[in-house]
Amino acid sequence: MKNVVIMTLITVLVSGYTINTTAQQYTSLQYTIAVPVNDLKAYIEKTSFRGFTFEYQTKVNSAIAVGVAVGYNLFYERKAYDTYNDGTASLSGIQYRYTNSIPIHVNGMYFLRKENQFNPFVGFGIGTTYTLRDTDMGLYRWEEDTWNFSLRPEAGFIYKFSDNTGLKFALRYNAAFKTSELEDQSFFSISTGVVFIK
Amino acid sequence: MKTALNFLVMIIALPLLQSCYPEGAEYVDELDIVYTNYDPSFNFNETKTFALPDSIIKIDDTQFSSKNGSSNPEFISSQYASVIINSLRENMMSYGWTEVNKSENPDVILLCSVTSTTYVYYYYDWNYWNWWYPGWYGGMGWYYPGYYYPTYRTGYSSGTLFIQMVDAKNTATEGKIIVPWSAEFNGLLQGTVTSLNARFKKSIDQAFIQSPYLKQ
Repeated sequence: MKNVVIMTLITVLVSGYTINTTAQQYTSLQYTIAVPVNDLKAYIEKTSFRGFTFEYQTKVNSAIAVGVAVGYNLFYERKAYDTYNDGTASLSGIQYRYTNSIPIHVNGMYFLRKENQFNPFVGFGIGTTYTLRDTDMGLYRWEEDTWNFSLRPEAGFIYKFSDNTGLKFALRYNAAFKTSELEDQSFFSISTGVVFIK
Repeated sequence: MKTALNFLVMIIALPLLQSCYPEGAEYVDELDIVYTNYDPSFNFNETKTFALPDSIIKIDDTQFSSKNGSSNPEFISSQYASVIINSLRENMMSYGWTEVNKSENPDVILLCSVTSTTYVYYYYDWNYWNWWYPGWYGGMGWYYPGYYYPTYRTGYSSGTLFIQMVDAKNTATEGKIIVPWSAEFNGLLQGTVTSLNARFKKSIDQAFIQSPYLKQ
């Protein structure tokens, strides 16, 4: 599964560069806030204010752009002193929980209004989310990691300041499906940043 | 030019994210953990009396060998040992147990030891206890029925207090003494005598809170 996702990413990334180098290109760096849901929320309830997203897309026609998106969010929560049971064993202490989430998607955007200063879009991404979970308790650390199959629908807009620069805003749902190592690691995100258009 | 600017932004952004990575614990006592485990087939309600020694063994890196009981191991300072042993005694009595002398045929015996080695691979043999344990004979060892060896793990550690409750009446096969309950406290050995003793007491209290099956 992991290899399939990686090969797809590489193929599309390479093809993205070779489709049409004269087409309009969007390069964007965004600040990303992420809200955990499902099993990720069961582990860490707090919203992540530590995150960013990098995107690169090329227009294949006047309405559609395809490319790749890579992001990072760190979820963190200090759990108050508590007792955790596992069979006959009981362990008490304060837990410091970390989830590092790295979504990597091949994505497409469909622009609802063409060549406007304000250009709303909807998009969809398919790929993987790498999840690294650390649980610190006392002087010990438990580490788990996995590559989740991931889908990422999104909606947002690009507001152009000029022909070359703009503001990008997107609401996304980063679905990261259960693996044998970890449960569902999905989250919602709000992302905004600068986009360079060439 | 624009591409260069993009990469510049990324180069600046990454260390910023790194610098705000949350650090976790700020105070020593936030690293204290209490671990307990027990044999679910052991009937704690049929046991009523306990005995415990007045000293706590200090485990060091060197191998201890005194099969004939001719020499004693090293003990930790009584200013810590008295607090630990008294906390243990108070908790046992509050759970309905009665303390007796080791010569009065106790149901269980509680044994405490401390290590401050960097890596926790907590193994010690019976010979550490032959200075005190009644009915000791050569070749005996510990046995933890139904659960894995409680302190067999690796990881950085500064100090561990290990308490094991030993079945003083029923010896398992092959000279192994049954240990139906054990508790372990791990943390940094930093602070004043008063603050360390407060942490020991709190941890022992917690061990009993999370082991309600010990109640009579």
